[in-house]
Amino acid sequence: METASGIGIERGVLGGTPVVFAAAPGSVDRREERRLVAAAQRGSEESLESLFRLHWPRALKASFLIVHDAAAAEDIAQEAFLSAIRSLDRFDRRRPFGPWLHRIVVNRAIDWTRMRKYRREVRFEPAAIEAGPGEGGDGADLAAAGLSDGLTAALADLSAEHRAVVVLRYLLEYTPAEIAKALDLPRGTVNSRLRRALDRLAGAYGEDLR
Amino acid sequence: MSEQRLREELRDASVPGASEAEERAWLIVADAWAERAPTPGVRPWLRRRLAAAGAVAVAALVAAGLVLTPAGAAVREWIGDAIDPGRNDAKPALTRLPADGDLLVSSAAGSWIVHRDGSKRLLGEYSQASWSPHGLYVAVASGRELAAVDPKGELRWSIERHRISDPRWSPNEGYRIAYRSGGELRVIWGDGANDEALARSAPVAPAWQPRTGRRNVLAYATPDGEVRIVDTDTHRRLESGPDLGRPLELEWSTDGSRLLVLTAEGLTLLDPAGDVVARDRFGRGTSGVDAEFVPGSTTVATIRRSGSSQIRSEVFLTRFGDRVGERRIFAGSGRFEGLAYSPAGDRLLVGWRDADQWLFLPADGSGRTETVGAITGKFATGESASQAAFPRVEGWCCRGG
Repeated sequence: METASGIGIERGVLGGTPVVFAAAPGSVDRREERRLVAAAQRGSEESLESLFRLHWPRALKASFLIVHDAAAAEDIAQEAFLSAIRSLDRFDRRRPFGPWLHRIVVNRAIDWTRMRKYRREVRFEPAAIEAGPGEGGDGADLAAAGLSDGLTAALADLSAEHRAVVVLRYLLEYTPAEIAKALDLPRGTVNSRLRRALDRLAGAYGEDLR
Repeated sequence: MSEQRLREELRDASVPGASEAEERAWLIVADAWAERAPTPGVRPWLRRRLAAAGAVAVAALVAAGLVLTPAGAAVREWIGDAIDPGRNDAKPALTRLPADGDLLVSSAAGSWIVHRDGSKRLLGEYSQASWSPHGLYVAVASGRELAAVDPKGELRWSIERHRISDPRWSPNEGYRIAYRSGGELRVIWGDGANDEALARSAPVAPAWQPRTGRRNVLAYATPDGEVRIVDTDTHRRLESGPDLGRPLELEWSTDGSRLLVLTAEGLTLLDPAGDVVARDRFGRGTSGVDAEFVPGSTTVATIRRSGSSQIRSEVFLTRFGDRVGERRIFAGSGRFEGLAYSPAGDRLLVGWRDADQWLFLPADGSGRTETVGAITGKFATGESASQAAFPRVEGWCCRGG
């Protein structure tokens, strides 16, 4: 079994402390994924559906944890899938499908949040996000996501760019190098964003996360 | 613990409505896939799947009247379709309007009033027109002239300004007319006095908020695409709505509680504070053309257009509530232009430009549609016949026919 990033055991380097983690639950069997992509490229809709079912939950969740708005997250994940299948014929199936999809999802989610920053779409409820920068949803959806109060508030307090690296790192299990590639950022920037995000999140948990 | 706890919390987080979202998304993805991959059997397979999964639900939805989908969802359901490649049962003459009220129409020849009995009167060589609140007057515009005329075409007053367009008479007691002059939004009193500039405006007709008593509250789009709501007497900006791109049309619900913003991409409903309360995005490759509130409700009728070489138009009813439900009530090839509800809200006039017809649809989408053909010729005079632009319906007003 390999992770979505194609790496079974990853050695993290955050804060200089090596972290070893196993394949994340819900991660994808690369061989099976490759078979599904090939079959879908040959026109099998059943294989496309399997591929969709395999990746949709994490794509939706990743989008949601960045934008904090369930309807927007659905639109973003849906658009990412549509974009991906339009290019599926050209997809090199030696590469994992997940990172390709996640790159689209995360970048669209960041774009959506940036746009929202300039478009006041929803009346914010101060009680929902007291210290939020106003970049995400109104917090009602996030509060219903089952996260602890501390993490909810901490995520709301992060910018979309910081939430994206947290989601890529801790939900989708990418390495900082892979995150840098996905977001088209220098690796040092990814590490600094992760550090800054973890500092904020540590406050939520009342402990050192690094 | 630390990072592991964060990992576990994120992993265990649930997205509200995730399973429904997955099913909606899969149908859309599968549909897109079927369209791009002409593999034999793909589309029948999808159809079988949809048919099996949806048979019971469809029956219930037909009974319910409208298909409900959560806000933000792009799922489209086609219930109660009336797809028609072109109607050949059109009446050759406009002998009688199928509902009470008088129509205001503008064509190449000028602005016209059509009475319930089918008789019509040319008000003059104007290009745009707007009913006064009780249909006692009409604000008309053409080139450099803005004027008020009565239903017989008698001129009451007129002014001259640069490139006048989009006159809109306030439905409230304050009797104001908003109009655009070049890129400027201006407001003049109903007696032709106190003409003054209000703001810079996008090329979109402004919309007066109904039921504000003696206050005169106007929504308009700035050149940047921002929707603003202002008190035109005090010039005080009451609210700023979101930047919605390029609004094509602004319209208030008849109770003044909702402002509709139509863009090519979709419908957005704002409250009087300028906050978004709902939105409905059109499908890919589909553009909004026209929109109209159903009188006395927050349901919206829209014309949507798709295709470039083979244009296709559809009329939808979109109901906004906790969830957004929509229903297609008519579709056909070519271009539809112009929507107008009868004053009682029982008939919806749809201009079918490429068929040169007017359709009078039953407002709820069920029942008999009346069609009148050769519309362009009915609103042409000798001099204007060669220009042959399809007439534009400006409004269907309150006066009994």
